[in-house]
Amino acid sequence: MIGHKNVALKPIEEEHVSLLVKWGNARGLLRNRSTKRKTCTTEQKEIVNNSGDNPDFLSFMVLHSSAPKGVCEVYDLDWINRGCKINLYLEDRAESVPACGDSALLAILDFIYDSLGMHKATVDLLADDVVMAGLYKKHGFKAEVRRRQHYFTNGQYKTVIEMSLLEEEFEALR
Amino acid sequence: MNYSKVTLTQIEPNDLPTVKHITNGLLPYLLTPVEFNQSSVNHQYKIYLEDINAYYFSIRGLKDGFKLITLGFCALRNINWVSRHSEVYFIMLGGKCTVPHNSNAKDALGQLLRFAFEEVNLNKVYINVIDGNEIREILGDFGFVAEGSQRESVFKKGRFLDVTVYSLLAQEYREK
Repeated sequence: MIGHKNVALKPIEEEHVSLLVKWGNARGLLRNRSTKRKTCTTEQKEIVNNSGDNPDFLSFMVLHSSAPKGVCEVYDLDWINRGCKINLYLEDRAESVPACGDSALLAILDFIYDSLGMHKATVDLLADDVVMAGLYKKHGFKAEVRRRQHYFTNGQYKTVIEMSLLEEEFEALR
Repeated sequence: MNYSKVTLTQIEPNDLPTVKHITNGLLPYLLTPVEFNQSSVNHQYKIYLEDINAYYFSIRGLKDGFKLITLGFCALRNINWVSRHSEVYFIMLGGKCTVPHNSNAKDALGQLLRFAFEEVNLNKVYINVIDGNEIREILGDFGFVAEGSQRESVFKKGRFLDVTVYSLLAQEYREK
């Protein structure tokens, strides 16, 4: 099982589709926001049922004390350069980030470095997303690229920060 | 697009052997780990033709003043139509870099940027540069700004190399 303390990362099942629609349409899943199109049940069901077809993309339901709290994605898996991108979406951040953010992130990182053998994990965040930036920074992530005017939302271009954690940095903090 | 020194045209099937030659010649500066054979280049070409988020060009120039030859290739790819940005892909033989320090390369890159900002109406272009690819100076001439360095993100010759990301905004292009 992939997990840390009271957080478990489980495969996403059809029963989670309604939650995925709700969360997918909420702001925060930066990776999925490029088209600005709202997602629907049919689309999410198809994604869940076809999730095994894409070897470069893994997604998990984040369970905190057995209750679904968010989604974690590992994508753009690059098996030669041993890098990948991660995305952690937690609903109701004010409550869930302090409660299970640390454990969820550590569970993902354990999985990336110990099971997938990755060398580097990268995350893209909006520059004004101080909550998630704080969480990643706490676990050793370093801001390495500041992408100017890279994401268009609410009528303006926003800066995107690319943060990363190398395997040896993760090991040093463990 | 037709200018005095070089011309950007669509890539034609008879360009593909040159694509292979140039790409394999610049392998240390590309993300590709192994050399392409002709079959894989031809396959990639079919993918290019169907890619609605990219524009690929052949860079053609005159040799000895009269013979039109293919000098290299360039592209706007991974175009994000909502956030209006694109990656610049540019390869031309000529030294330890993908954008050689010569007037043809400068002219071609200038045309590609003009296309990006004046025809496709992008807001930003960026280029990923692997350590060892000596194009910083030429990018600086066009006003590109370093946004940061992706640490140890490419594995070449037994070690991880950094990749520096440079970008140019439409506003900066117009001011230049």
